[in-house]
Amino acid sequence: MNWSRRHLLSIEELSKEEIEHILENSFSFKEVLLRPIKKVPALRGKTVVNLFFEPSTRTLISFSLAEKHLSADSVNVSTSSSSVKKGETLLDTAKNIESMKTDMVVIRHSSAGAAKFLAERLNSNVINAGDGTHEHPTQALLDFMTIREHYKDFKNLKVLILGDILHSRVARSLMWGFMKYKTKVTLCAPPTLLPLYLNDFNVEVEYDIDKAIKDKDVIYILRMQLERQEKGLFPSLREYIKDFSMTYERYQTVKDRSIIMHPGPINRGVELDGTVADSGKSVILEQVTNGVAVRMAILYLLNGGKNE
Amino acid sequence: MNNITLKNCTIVNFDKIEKNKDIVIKNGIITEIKNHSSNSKGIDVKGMYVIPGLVDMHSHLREPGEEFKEDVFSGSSAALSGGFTSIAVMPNTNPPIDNPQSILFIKKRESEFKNIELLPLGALTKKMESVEITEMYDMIRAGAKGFSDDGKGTTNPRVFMNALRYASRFNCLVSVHCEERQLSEGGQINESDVSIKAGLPGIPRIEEDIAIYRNLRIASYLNTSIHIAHISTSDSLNIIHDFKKKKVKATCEVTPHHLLFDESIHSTYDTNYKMKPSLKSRADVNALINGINSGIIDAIATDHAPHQIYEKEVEFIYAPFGITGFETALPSLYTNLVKTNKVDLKTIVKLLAYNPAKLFNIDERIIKIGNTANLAVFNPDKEIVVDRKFLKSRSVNTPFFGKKLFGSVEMTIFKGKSVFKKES
Amino acid sequence: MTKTFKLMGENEVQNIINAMANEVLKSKASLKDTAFIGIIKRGDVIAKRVADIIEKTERLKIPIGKIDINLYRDDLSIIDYHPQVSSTEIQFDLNDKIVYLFDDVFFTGRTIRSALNEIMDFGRPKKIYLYVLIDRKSRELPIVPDFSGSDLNIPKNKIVTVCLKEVDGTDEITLLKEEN
Repeated sequence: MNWSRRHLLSIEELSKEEIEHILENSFSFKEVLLRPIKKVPALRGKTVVNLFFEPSTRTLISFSLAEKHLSADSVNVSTSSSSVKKGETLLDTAKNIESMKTDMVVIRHSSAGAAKFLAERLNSNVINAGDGTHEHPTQALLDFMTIREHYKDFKNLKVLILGDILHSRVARSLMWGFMKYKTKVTLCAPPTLLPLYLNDFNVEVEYDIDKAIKDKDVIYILRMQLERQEKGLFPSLREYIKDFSMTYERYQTVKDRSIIMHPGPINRGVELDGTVADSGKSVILEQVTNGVAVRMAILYLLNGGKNE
Repeated sequence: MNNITLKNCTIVNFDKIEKNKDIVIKNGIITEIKNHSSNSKGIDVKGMYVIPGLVDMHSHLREPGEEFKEDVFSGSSAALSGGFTSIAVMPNTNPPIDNPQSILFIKKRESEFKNIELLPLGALTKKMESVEITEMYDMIRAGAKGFSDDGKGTTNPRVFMNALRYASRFNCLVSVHCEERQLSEGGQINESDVSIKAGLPGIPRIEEDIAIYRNLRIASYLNTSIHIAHISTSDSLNIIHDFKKKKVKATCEVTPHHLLFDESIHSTYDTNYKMKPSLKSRADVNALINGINSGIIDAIATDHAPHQIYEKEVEFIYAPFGITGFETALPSLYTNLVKTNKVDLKTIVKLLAYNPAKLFNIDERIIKIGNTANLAVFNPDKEIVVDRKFLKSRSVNTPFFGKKLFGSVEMTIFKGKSVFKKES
Repeated sequence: MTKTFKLMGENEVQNIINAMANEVLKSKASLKDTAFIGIIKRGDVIAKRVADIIEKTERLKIPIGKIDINLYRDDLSIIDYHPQVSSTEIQFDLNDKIVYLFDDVFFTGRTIRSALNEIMDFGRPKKIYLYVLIDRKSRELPIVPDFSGSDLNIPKNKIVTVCLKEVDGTDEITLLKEEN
């Protein structure tokens, strides 16, 4: 297929074919990561700005490495949204940076729609590295790549997403993606951490974690944000762990072939048991490796995309 | 004094439409309405509607405090260009209009501008903090036409009850912004499938009807009149209907945008659709349209809320709530509701002029002999482009920006004087 | 209207591949230090066929790698769409190897330039030979094949297509011509 997109803003907007195209290229880029010299000249002379308005270690490093492996020059701008709010507007910041003749912008921001906002106003290619509780498309793509390494066909998979779905951009991107593959997705969380409206997603809800994990091929555990307790969304960590954590005991009841995923960073002992994270079914570190490959593929493809 | 004759008028009043009339205005008064005769002199408005000067029950002129968004002069010019000759001015300025001196300031600015009637509303509570009630006697003496804690709502029910009771003695309008803030806090748009998909914090729609119910109960308990500002849901409409059936002295208003747009637009993250109350579902929009046809809704009010482009041109969650409305209210309603036969033009006139004037107890908005000549001439066939030149407001934060609408206010007459004329 | 002219059929293609194998064997170099690399996606097929012939006659397995040169192209910033990338596979040490680089058509030399750069990122071969089925004699860089099955002087705007069974289901070389 001819890749014509210039921006990656969401999984919702991608077709299944486009997701497949990204995955195919990602596997090729993963090979580059295994070379003695992990650097190819594909984006030589291109400048990428990583504009991070929310703290992030993993995603920022992953993008930076992907850019370096492709020989692009990259600059990291890490700042909190609140300080930007007080001073310069996002648009001013982005336009000023673009005036320094940059080619691509990777943006992470606490407001949903921030990546789309920039894509509509800049000439650069824009990659959404997480916008509020909207989407985190590169995370979902690296997750799909990791799942593909274990299961060829997504259609007959049974997937569980466990944890704070309401506030999770990763969950939204995953749900959009799985919907395109007609994958059976179950959500498990306390009711207060589930969206009240799920009519547009093809998902089931199971409040009982022990039932939910039993027959699943993929168990995707979300990071628990501790500040949700202060907002009155769950009563105590103790009860959350009791009823929604992947404990070692629960791990024993998971299907042999199933894989356990997590977008990181892990709260060991909270959403999943510390030993489960390192267990045989955990593919959490594979996800991290694939993250670099997927981001290389996306940088490479978007840079070649042309305005229709 | 100016004398004006309008020839060949199609006169639209709330109750009837009359064609081929000539209107003669002398000394600010409509002195004659007669069948058109070819030898009469005056301005020929053939094919155009002559409607009563519109009355906006709800607007924000931002003065004092935020003159970079709007001031009395720019806002009034915008209102006149939209056919409004009287506009209610909400007190949530900076500082708020919560004392007689501030009311006098608005009246002073009105007299400097001369060409429009401002209807200043004073705050119900000092600094609009819902703690102490304001000096309403003095504000009424200074020229206040009503009271409101608009933008916030009087959150404390005991304080609100006292304020409403205190105000009841003036028989003036008390306009109530109904929002249960503990439910709406932190929200961006209506909570629904749309907000979940957009990843924007949702506002449960019940925050509005819960507050409306509470405030209507207080009004009915006190047996006072109450006006509910900008309703947006079918539930609110039903609750108000129930109270009206029980003869509670309640009235309510709706904005043009809640009659025209639904929440599905939020997938674009366009901040010119971010407002309070939030946009709701298409079913709500249809219910509200039924509400204006059935008479449950008493008025259409713009909630003109100017913000500069650079304030709106930001991440969705940081953009301020509100859109402008003076210039687009009539053309947008005409284009989307009248031309599509969903609402009669007479009903629009009733809700944008006749009823609000009655609620404020100001010059009657009926075009008839002896009445003050507050009029607008509206050309329904002329297409307008909503651009910087068309908009007279200092701010252009309207979802219609860049779009075309049908219907052009060609002329506005205030107290017999031509105060706005569309440049050709 | 485009029209296809068949330049070579199955036999002619196989003859060239046989000749390639003979040429490799003729060289004095020790086959033990020899490695083949094919440029995806037909050069690798040619490399495999040549290696198979040598394996049959010499009972010696020559290591084969394949490379995708897309990431090393010099026209990435000007072409309309970035092409799909395939995995490069060189699972042996390239240092001090005698490398035979295979491709189907030698045209401008730019693909070979990319391939050489990529190979250098994997190690430092002792020597690199270039073997191609066809040389279109339109080089734009100072690079020439060490072996070409056929030299064809074809105008630049014409397209030569090589089909191989393993990829395309048939062995043939065709010329596409625009006709009015």
